[in-house]
Amino acid sequence: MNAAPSLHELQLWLKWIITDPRGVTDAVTDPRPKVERYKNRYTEPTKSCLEWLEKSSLNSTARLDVYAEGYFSRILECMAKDFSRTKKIVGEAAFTKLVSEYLKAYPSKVTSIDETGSQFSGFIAEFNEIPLAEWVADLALFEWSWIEAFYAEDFVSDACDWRKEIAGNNQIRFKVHPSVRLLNSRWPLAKLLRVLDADDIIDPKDFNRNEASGLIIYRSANEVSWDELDLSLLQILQNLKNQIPIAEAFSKEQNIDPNVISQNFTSWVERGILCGVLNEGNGVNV
Amino acid sequence: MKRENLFPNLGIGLGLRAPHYSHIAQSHPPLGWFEAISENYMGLSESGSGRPRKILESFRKDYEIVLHGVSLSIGSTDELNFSYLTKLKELAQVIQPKWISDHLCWTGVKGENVHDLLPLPFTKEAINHLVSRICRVQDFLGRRILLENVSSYITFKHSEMTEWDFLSEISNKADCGILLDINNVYVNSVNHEFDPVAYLKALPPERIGQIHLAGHSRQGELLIDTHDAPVCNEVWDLFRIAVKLFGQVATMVEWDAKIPDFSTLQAEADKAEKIISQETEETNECRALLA
Repeated sequence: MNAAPSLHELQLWLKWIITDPRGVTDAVTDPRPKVERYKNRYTEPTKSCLEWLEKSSLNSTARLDVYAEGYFSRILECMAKDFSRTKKIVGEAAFTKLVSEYLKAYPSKVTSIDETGSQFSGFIAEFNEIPLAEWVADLALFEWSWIEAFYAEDFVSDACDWRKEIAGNNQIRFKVHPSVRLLNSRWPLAKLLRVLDADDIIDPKDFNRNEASGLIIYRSANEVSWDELDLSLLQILQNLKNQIPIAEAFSKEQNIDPNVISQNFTSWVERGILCGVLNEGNGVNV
Repeated sequence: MKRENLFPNLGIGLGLRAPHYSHIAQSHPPLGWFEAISENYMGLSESGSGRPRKILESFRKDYEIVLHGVSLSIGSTDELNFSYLTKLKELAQVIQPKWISDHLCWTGVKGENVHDLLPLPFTKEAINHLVSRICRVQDFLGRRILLENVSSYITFKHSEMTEWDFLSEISNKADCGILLDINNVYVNSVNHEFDPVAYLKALPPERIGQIHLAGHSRQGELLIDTHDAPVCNEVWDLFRIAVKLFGQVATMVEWDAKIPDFSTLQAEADKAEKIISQETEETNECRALLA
């Protein structure tokens, strides 16, 4: 028998066995797969530690399987919850395949399992092993934005009435609520979401057309919401989020009715999407 | 004779879980405390903690809270994650928990997180590694932490002692507390064929700061720590023995999957309270007779 493994060697080996996408049996018997894809994923352990597992009536592989199954099912369950609309669109089998492949490319490096899906949208955009509608990546991005909005910092409104500071000041810059996420999709994402949320039957082909839509996702009264937004208004809000002074932020978008801008601006203030103003120079509350 | 416990007895508590938020907020159930999973209130890496933190802060006004983590990875051979610890410390400053706990395990290595409570070999090397890290964590957080014994499905030939000796030695050397999960003791006693009572008898009573009770499921020959079922009779029996050995210790029921309505959990908590009451009365009667 070889010398007992160090704690580090044992951990490298166990992590390898538990997370190997081929399953425990293959990982144990063939620790050096010839794979071109996700080469970094297959970091080699320094030595096999199988002989150092206690034998019992149940073989070691079956016991290791408990951890391997737990690893995948736990993350799959979490991502199915976080990306429920994406799962509904692609179907259970394709979603499971997507998560499996995703974990090969992006093994979790975060302490909260709820954050495991942070790169799922980008992964879907590049993944071509199963046929997916092109807008599925945008749908996943929308769902991740929802989670970011949920976890975004709260903003405590200024004690003074900052709205009074706006009048006549065309250089004023705004604080946009930390939860606000803006999505500019080249697909009719808003229509798709309405259909999905109404639980209607979906034909993906209905949404495979270049019909750009803007969406705002934000938290208000402790609930996350979304709205469709005209692309010019979306750009104005993006300008404000980038702390561009109000005059410049608005003047960049010439093709929109000033009354519409005014109505939306009022609505953004009322809903707390715009929640304060910045002082020139120091960026503190007025 | 039981020495004075290092942790206050908070009585009976329950795990704070999202499906019960509304019920707790509206009906203010008569419990002394809740255990909150730390990571659920620490937010995302690049973001704040938003709504979940606000919810916890609101419950804190009515209840004592203890924080229970799953990602400290105290046994990992990776460097301690001070970014995680900083967030945990900041959460503790806001919530002012009675204590902070995590698990005697590792959850990943080489920067990857398996999101599972993985077992350690019971070796002197592991003890030295753990004690040093626990001391650094306690110094950083400025408080004594508790570590929980975990369920396991494998053991290692090069282990040099029993699980209970391993746990006892670490808690004594690192001067930390033990969060004794009685279901995990039972699960391991079946999976690895040892006497669970011997386990309980070997632990240092003064270091048992909290007790977990939970349900498990069977998968072939193995018991799996699934937290998706009522506490089984064998675990209740072990709990009786634990109360005799350790006296009144803060005790809570965990239920994390197939979560039932709050009244079912409350019934489990009431059962635990009844056992504590019965066993304490019996112990007092014995003492009176001896006196």
